[in-house]
Amino acid sequence: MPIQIDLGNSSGSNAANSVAPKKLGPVIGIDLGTTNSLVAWVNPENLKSTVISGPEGELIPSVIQVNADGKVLNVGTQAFEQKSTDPAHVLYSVKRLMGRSLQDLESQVAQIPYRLKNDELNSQCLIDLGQKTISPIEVSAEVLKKLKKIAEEKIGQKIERAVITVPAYFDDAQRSATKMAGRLAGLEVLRVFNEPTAAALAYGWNSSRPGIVAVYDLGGGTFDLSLLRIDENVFEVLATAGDTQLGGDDFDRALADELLRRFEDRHPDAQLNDVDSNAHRKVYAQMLGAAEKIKKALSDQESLTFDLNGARMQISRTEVEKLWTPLVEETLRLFEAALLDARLNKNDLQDVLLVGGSTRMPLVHKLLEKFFGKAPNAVLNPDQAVALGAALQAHILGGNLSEHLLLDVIPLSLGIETMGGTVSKLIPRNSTIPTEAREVYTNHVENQNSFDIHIVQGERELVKDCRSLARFRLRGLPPAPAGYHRIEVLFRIDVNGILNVRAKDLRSGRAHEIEVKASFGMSEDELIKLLEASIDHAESDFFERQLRDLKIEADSIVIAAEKTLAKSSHLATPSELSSIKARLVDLKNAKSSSDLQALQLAMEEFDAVSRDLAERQVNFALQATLSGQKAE
Amino acid sequence: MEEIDLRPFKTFGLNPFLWIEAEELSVIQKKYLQLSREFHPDRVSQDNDDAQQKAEEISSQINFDYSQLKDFWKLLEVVLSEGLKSANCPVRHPHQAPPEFAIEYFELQEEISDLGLSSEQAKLKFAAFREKVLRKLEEIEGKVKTYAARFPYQGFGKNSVPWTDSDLLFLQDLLENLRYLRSFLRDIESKIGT
Repeated sequence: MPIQIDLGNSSGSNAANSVAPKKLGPVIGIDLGTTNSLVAWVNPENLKSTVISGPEGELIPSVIQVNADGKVLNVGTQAFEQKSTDPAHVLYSVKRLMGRSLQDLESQVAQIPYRLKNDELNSQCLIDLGQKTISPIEVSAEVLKKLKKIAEEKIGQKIERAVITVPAYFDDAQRSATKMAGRLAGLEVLRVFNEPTAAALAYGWNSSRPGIVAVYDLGGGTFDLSLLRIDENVFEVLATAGDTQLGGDDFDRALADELLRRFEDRHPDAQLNDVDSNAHRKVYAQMLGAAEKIKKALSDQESLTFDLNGARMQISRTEVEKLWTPLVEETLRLFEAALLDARLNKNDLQDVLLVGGSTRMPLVHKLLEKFFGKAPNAVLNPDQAVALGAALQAHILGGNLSEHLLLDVIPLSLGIETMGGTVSKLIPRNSTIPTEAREVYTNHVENQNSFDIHIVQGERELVKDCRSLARFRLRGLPPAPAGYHRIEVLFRIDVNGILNVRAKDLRSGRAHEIEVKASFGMSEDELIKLLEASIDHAESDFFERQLRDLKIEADSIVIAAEKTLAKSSHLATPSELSSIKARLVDLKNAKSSSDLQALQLAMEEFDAVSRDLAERQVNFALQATLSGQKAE
Repeated sequence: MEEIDLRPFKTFGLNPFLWIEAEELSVIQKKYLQLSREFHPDRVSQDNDDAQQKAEEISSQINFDYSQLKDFWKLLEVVLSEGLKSANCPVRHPHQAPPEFAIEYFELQEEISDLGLSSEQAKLKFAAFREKVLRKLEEIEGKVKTYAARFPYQGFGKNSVPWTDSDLLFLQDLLENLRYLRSFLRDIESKIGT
């Protein structure tokens, strides 16, 4: 019986889901950023969207530190602090690598401080740690695990579901990679949610002014420009434009390149020509570190004097803004493109909302004001807006009634490869999702028993200039004269912006089997393997936590017991006393071991022999109180 | 006149039309938002996979149909392809060009290759021809719109289609001319490097 197969990005077959236990507990909203990540939720006590803060604060650097074997040593601030001292093993800005192959990143290799290689399918890049490799999906999963833990500890409940944000301009491969990272972190990702839409939701949740707003989202690694119409709780995305390889990091890199030039001028013998060498990577990492600090300082000062590897240098905001202007102008060009797509002009916009840490740069404000004719709206906290919006969506999807309706779009056109390597567009960009397209296929040749479909994403005319999404093969067509078969293939883009494909034989009305070969990312098998490995860890983590908690409990029992023995031993019989003392020794021994069961047993046995004495002690104290005496 | 099942109109409960004014489109927009509120997957329990699937199906249909209704040329394509399916129309060659153009274009090509004109002169000739094609495109697009205006928006309802098979065939003819002219244009533009 032919079965339907999705692209493997949905959460599994229907049968499995209807048997699986229903997931409860709050749904968290996660902003998985290039530089920093945040977790937020809508607190059911006050129904306010709030960022959840852990011991490190609200912003968790999206950074992990591993050793050469791929074992994770640190996640977050502690890892971030090791950035310049251990560049090969401190992994950051990994969001830029999600869903990308080595070829996609070729132009940036000189500026990425760790080694990359391709996986076997040549479809996703891996970070080369020497003896081992680690995928960007695994790195992101570590950050997600940390955020999950922070939320669980603050809320005091187990968290199993989340909404994770992505740049609106993320393509299918990048979205699927994000969803996989969530799964690897033990989260059911209810929605892969666009960042500008999340920010707009945070902005417009309580406001009643209808109008069209632009969300200008310049983060650490990505840029999005979305145009939305907000009207009576409906948030309708009209158009979106962006660049998933343009962000604060590029401003750092431009400055780092300049610093490197100056460094090479002063040290002509440094021999840093080979961009793939360790020497280059190490020096460049230092330049990047310096550039980041200088960039931040220049937001407040006009010029800066600093030390670079022993050399004194000076740089002014004007000089640096010259380097950065082309980057900001690129964002404005994308702004124009979105306006064109939406058939709007600047005057139709009520507001331009700024999102993302990089929008703090004075240059951005200056050029945006010039472009737009008035100052952009900085009412949103640029770091928190996305997470707060994600939490609101999480709240809605968690089953809470709301009047809000979010209508998002796909950012890139979907097409099929046709004769001559050209693309036939199936679903145009900026189509509201979910959406679909249908094509009817037939056998062109007599007795042809299968045919291939190649799906691509992009705006170009030729297949080679677009991004390959997947190749499908329809097999098992029974022999027939040419033109006999009528197989309808349904291409569906779901609310996450991810493609699902189904085939139906129009003659029989039955579903037709369709074999999928994703052009990117991890295969389902690889993901399952990784998941199982992490579940093993999860179990041992859980066990460790139980042991630790029990030991703490045992400690307080021992302290109380020793106090009792010192003060109230006259209340006990001699045999009682000896068994209490014996069980106490056993308890102390069990406490110093790692045997959870032995410790539990020791605690139970101690409790059994000491219970009566404890009761007597209480009664004695009560009597003393009642008779006016002070009890000890 | 047979009742034709035209999905975009059916989904929105509209009487079939080909031509719509901007203010009338806003009425359809309101209906679109109303339908979206009712059937969007976000409005359905996330735990119920069957309901989610159904909501996704219906929502996709609504979104797709709305995109057809909003765009004059897309709507025309849908109406023609559905309408002419059931009609007994003659088998047509997919690329029937307006005859005067096909001949002139090939003559132009021959002229240029025969006389070995320098690429600058050839470019000028092609540019002039391009202008002609653009003007012809405008003219035919105008004809299509004028004819379509015979079947204006008629609000909500269940009327059958107001056009006949010959109306559709006439429009299809014009559209095919347009298609061919546009491919001419692409060809010319690639030659003069626009």
